[in-house]
Amino acid sequence: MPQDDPATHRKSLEILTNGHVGLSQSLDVLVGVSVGFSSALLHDLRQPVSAILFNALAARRLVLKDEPSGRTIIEESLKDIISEVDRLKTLLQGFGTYLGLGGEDVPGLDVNQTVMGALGLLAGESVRRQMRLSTDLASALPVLQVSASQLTRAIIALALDLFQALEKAPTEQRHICVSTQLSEGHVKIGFQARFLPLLEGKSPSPPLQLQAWSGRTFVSQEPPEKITWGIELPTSPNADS
Amino acid sequence: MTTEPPEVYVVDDDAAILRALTRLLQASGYRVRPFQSPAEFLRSATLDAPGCAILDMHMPEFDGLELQRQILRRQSPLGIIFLTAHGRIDQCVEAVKSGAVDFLSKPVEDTVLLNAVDQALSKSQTRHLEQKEGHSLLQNYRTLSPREREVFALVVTGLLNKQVAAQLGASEKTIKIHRGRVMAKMHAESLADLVNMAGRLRQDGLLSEAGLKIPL
Repeated sequence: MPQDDPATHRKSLEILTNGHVGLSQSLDVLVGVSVGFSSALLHDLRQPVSAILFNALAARRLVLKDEPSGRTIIEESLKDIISEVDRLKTLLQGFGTYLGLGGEDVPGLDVNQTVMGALGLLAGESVRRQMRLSTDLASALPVLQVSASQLTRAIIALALDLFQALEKAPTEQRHICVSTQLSEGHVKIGFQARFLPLLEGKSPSPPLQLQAWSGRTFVSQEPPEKITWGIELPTSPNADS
Repeated sequence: MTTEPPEVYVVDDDAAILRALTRLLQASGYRVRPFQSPAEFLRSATLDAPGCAILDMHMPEFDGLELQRQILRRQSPLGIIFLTAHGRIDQCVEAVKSGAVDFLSKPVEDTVLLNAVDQALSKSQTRHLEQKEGHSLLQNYRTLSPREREVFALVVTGLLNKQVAAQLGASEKTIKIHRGRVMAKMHAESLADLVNMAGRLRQDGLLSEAGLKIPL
């Protein structure tokens, strides 16, 4: 059992204290998780656990009844239990990546997969805040030599900043599109959102927009459709990051 | 004639939870109707019949508390249970203050959930019965003439026919006739019955909802 294995505990501790992330930074991440989206994550973990439990309880009742009509439902319940275990596993793996507990980062990172994994961790939080997340992912992106945990944290931090900045927007405008694209030797991860004007002057001057970046807010006159934040990742290790 | 058992509605945007919960409730003998969208639930559910609604709290269209408000606005007798994976104390307080039967956390044991469903169904049946009685009370009240309504209002305060007659400037004999008609139209068997009916009409807001009032 991995959880009871002292060697696994030691390994996790080593990764936390001596790995590529320093102890102080690791603790910062843990604190960030606690104040950030831990409750939403807890919600997301409880969902598959509940579905597994309800399916198991339903199947147990039907097994006890032993009616032929119940057999199909028992089979469907068991299938759903398996898929919910997978859902739970994906979430836990994503959380492990976020915390940097996944061990050494595997060379050759699939950016789209990392984006989807990070957004998966935000699923509950986006529902709670009534935010709509969509993706526009480029196909055939090169694999990159970057840390999956750092990239996951960066995506989550950016998304949470945008959630906060969009909190006062009408529900139908709370939409963030996350895109990936290959451009000039970089893979770009873009976050696009539309904000309510902060101040509107006489036309044709564009309205002032409230923007958010890493917990800070500032004002800009960029037209709404151009407000895109992004992360640029070099496709070659020698290129500028 | 057989009466169909009341329905248990499940509203949850998570498709896996919705399927699993529906299976559990069906395997426990309930008639279940699942909805993945609160708006669809409001459009399709039979809201004027007794039943139970198990609501998730966080859903994309609107949250469980808003759905509860909309159900209440439609004066539905449905018994409401919240079942959430992320409930806050302030949400729990608001839900229960607004009449929710229970506020449960996912995952929940079947015995706890099914007890809550039974309790919600029982409360819903009672509420539905009271609503029906209130409705027929109001219908009866509508049949009273303006003069009979005045007599009704004074009689239920404990005044004698003689005193009512003096107050309305009519003869005691006339008041006696009006009083007899009031008793008959309201289907009251005694003065105590009539007093109770007046209390219900006032307390439950039935008159104000119907744009009426007890005169004097």
